[in-house]
Amino acid sequence: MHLKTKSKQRRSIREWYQDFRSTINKHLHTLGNFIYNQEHYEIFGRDGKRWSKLAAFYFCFYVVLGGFFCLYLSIFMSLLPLHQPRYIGNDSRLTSRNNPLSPGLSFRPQTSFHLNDVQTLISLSSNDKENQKESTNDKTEIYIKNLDEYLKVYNNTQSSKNFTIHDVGDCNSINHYGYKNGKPCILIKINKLIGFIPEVNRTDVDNKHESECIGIPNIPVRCMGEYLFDQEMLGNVIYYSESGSSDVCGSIDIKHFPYNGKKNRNNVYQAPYVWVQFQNITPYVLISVECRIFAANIFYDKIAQRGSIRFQLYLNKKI
Amino acid sequence: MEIDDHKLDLVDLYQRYNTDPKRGLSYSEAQKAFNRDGPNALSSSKTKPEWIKFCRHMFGYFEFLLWIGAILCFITHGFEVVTYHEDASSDNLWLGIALIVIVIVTGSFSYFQDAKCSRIVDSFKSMVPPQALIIRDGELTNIRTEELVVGDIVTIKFGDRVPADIRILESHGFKVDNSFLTGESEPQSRSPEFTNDNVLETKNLAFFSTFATDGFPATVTICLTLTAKRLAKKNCLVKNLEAVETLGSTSIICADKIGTLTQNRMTVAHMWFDNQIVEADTSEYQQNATYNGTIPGWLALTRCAILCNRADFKQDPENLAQPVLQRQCYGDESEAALLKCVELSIGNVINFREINRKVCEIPFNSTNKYQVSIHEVYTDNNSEVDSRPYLLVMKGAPEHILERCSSIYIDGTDVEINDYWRNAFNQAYMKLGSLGERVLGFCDLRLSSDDHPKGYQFNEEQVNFPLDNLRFLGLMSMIDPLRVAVPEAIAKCRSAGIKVIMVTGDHPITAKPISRAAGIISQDTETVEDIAERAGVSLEEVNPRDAKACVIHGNDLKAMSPAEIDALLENHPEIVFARTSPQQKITVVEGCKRQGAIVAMIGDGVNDLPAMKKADIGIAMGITGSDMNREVADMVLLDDNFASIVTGVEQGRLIFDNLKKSIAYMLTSNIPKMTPFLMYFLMGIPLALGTSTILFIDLLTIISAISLVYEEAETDIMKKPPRNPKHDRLVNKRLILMTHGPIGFIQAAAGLFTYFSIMAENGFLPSRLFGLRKSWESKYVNDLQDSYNREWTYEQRKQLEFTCQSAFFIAIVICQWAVLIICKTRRNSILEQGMKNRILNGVLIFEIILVAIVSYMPCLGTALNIYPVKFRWWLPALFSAFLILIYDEVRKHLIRQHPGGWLERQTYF
Repeated sequence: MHLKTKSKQRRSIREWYQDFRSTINKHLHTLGNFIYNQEHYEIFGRDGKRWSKLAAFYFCFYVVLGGFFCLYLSIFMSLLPLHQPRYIGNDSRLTSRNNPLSPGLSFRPQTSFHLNDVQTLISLSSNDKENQKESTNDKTEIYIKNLDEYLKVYNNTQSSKNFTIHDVGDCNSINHYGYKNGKPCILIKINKLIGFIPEVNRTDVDNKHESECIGIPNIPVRCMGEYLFDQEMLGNVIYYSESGSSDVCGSIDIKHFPYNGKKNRNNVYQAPYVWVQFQNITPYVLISVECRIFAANIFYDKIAQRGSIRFQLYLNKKI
Repeated sequence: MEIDDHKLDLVDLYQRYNTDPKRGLSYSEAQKAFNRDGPNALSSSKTKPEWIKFCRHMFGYFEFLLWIGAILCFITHGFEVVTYHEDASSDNLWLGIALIVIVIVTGSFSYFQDAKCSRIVDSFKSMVPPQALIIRDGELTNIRTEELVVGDIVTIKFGDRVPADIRILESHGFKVDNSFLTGESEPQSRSPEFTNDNVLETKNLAFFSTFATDGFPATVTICLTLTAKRLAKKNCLVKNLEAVETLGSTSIICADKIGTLTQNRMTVAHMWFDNQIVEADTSEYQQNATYNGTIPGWLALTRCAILCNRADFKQDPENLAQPVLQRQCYGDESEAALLKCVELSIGNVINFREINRKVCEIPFNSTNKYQVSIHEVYTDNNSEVDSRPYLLVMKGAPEHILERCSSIYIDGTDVEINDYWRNAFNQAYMKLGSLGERVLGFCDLRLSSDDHPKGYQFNEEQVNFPLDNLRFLGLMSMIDPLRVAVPEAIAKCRSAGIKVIMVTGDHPITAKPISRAAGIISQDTETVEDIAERAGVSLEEVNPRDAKACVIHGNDLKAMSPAEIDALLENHPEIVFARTSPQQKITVVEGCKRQGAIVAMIGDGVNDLPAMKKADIGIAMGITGSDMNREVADMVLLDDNFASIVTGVEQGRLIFDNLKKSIAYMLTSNIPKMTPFLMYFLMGIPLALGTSTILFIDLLTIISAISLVYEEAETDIMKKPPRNPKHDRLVNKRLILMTHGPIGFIQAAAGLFTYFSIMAENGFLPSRLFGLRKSWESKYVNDLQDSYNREWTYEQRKQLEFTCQSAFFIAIVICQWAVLIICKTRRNSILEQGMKNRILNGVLIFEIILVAIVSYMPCLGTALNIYPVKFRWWLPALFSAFLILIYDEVRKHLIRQHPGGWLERQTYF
């Protein structure tokens, strides 16, 4: 069956284009008129007087709103306690329903050169003359600077609670913290939490690796390769603690706890730390190291890095 | 399929379908054919299976994004499991599951809403089932078009819809609209002749008509359907969903008079006898009689009305069982009106006619302008019968009747007609005529037995009986009365700023009084003619500008240029167009549209069709309207009640207002949602609002916005003028400024204050937060220092961040709570509006419960990174919510105090 329809004749492209252009022109004209109407001296549909009225209204509104905001915020701030936050310990958001309160660990040197740098990688390049070209991006100096910077706090001898490690081995500025000879010293410290005191007496260790550290009355610190492969590549580790050096584990005395916030500001609180020196790292291999501390009220979580810290070492030369 | 039905000879055609042009099919054959072929309807092959519809809601644009998000979450989780084994965090798994749950819940919700809407729309279609008049078993019967079978003989009249594909057997001036088939816009004539081999071209086939429908976005459909459903309850059937909104912005209603404003049922309104005008009592039980039913003048008048009357009730029991006024009659409508009047007041009319047998009759014609019949008189008094056995009764145009009379029957005695009586007659005639009533005069004469003894052979051809020197009895006037609710409805339209224009085919003489009675021309306005009459000057001396009302004759309209019509419409708020042709009705509608008005055309007849199509919205009468009218109309008033239009306008305005409120509500959360991101990128402040919380805000916003659709109208809805469709759009500058300006920023301030206070109370003072983003977001920084030199691991500060985000989220939800309340009204105080919207109240409670569950329920919160929030952190938001309420109440108060003032122009959306 043949359906005869009075369909519109196909328009030629030219006609279509003309149509299109005139429509666009019309719209542009309307838009142009809206942006600036010469007849009524209007910009965006309002003349100067009406714009200024509207602007005045919103200016007043925002000034009042902003004023209120700042006023209330400053009142609120002035009511906050001076030396420590309102919420500390278990009241604060350091804990949640699923995550108990435990300090994290952190290490130095930690620097970033670019935005996307992996800031947990410590890579030591060669200072041999034949590899001079590579050493253009040698980070050793920067690591040393970073450590010097961090240790400045401990040079203040006026403090009543001074923290000093007498036997530091290579781990000092003079020896470049061992970085120049491929035996890097890493500073491991416990995050400052106001009011937190580790419970060391009831240390309950469930891992055979830690058994060697049992009996140490202070908080034991241990670093080892994250996986078996890393452990094989890592070589010897020496810990320099306040109480002396050991090749089994470091220790931190609990007499440095708790941190009390800004009360200690006058006599700058010196956070306790441990030096960990890696004596013979296998070169040309990326080694992942995990350090841990042990206490009854420190709840280890690998991913959340509670009571632990991970970093990577890479040695780009033979010793 | 090859069709040759149009080529066949009619006899062969009857044989092929086993039918007969006079008797049609028999019922049994029709049943057989029905069982064989099924119903006469287009097979709905286009309807999609339900599961496909369901899937469309599950995989829409927005839903599709969520699915992709969920899949990405699962993939990420998979990588985490591979990398960390049992140490992998399950955050992404939970987020993925949450996304899928959201998709399924919202998808099912919109599916069920949509299914409900289409069920409602379908039910509308079955409310006015198209009918066809067919011959079956030799009888004319009305059946639904679906029940038609091949071989049925169909009769079609003007305005009917062609109920099936038909071959034309007999026709008279038959034209069909084939535009949907062939695109021909002119009606095509159809006749029994076979003219062309082509099925569509041949003149002896006509085709079943169809119409197409369009789709809307789902939310709008929900709103429109809800309103359509509400209107259907009030007997206002919406055929085209868009019409609801159009009706709301209607600024001019053009109404046909007959059958729309009036009942299209002539009724006796007044009588004049014994030199007094009395109101006729047309109530069912005669409780309104203002005259004594035994006075001789009245009895004589009614006797004349009974006998000189050819109308009769249709004699089927069903018809006779109905109340008198609703019975169907044979005969002229004026006579039917007289018949009903006397049946009501005297009763037993048929019996009275039988005992007073009609012996001779001259029916009405336009040259005589009278109607005469002669009856044998039946009374108990035999001598009376013997002396004067015959009664001549006459009715007709009053002036002609009076000319034939020499006496007038007053208070039981015959009085000779003199100038006094002629004057009295003229005054009464004028008075009744000025009410727009159709007046008839009645007279009679007892023929004496001297000239006309019993058995006299009357002959209407030779007129062997007197037609002069008769006795005048009185006048009866009839009117097509206004529908009851019309004046009130028109008054309401006027207060709602809607102009009502009468467009009628009637004479100006009848149209004007009706328009006055209806209020289309209000009591204290005058036309040019009124002014001339009052001042006693000629029409030319009156300044047309003084007259606010005018009655325009169709012929004058024809002579006017478009500019003149524009001026006419502009200068006269009250206009009646009388004696208009269908073409002139279009002219009127076009003129109104030129003024930028949204025009509604209401009509019941085929002559209104072109104008109804031309108007922005066509409204048909459901009972009196023709099939075509109902077909073309966007809306049908099922009970023919003009007042339903007012409801329609109100609902149309309500839907527009409510959509505006919904949109305003939805837009207010934009600023508080954007602020955290701006501060994150521009000032380096840790993110104050996360993705999952934004998702929740959007979800709650959508649900709450829908609840505003159920909001009741504000008190001023029918007191303000219709919106200007050019300037007052759904989303306008004021709405955007209003929602994004003050309200949005109060919310953002509430959220930020909460955020800063939580951060500060946990050690990060505001000064510390600026520029902190890089270290805050770095997973490698495990000892980020706060303002008190505490050191936070990445996980610990994320906990803090999520808590802040939860509090920000709660702050917005609480503020949105207040915004939902302020969005209930645009001008009224919330105290006046009240909290009667149960769905909205439910949403308010639901929001708080949902927020509490999400925030405080252990597993769910962890999965969505929404953390419990201390009660004190709810307080800034509660304060801000209060501030929002106060701010907007003050704003609305000022708007009410200074109507048309600066604040209204800038902030009333």
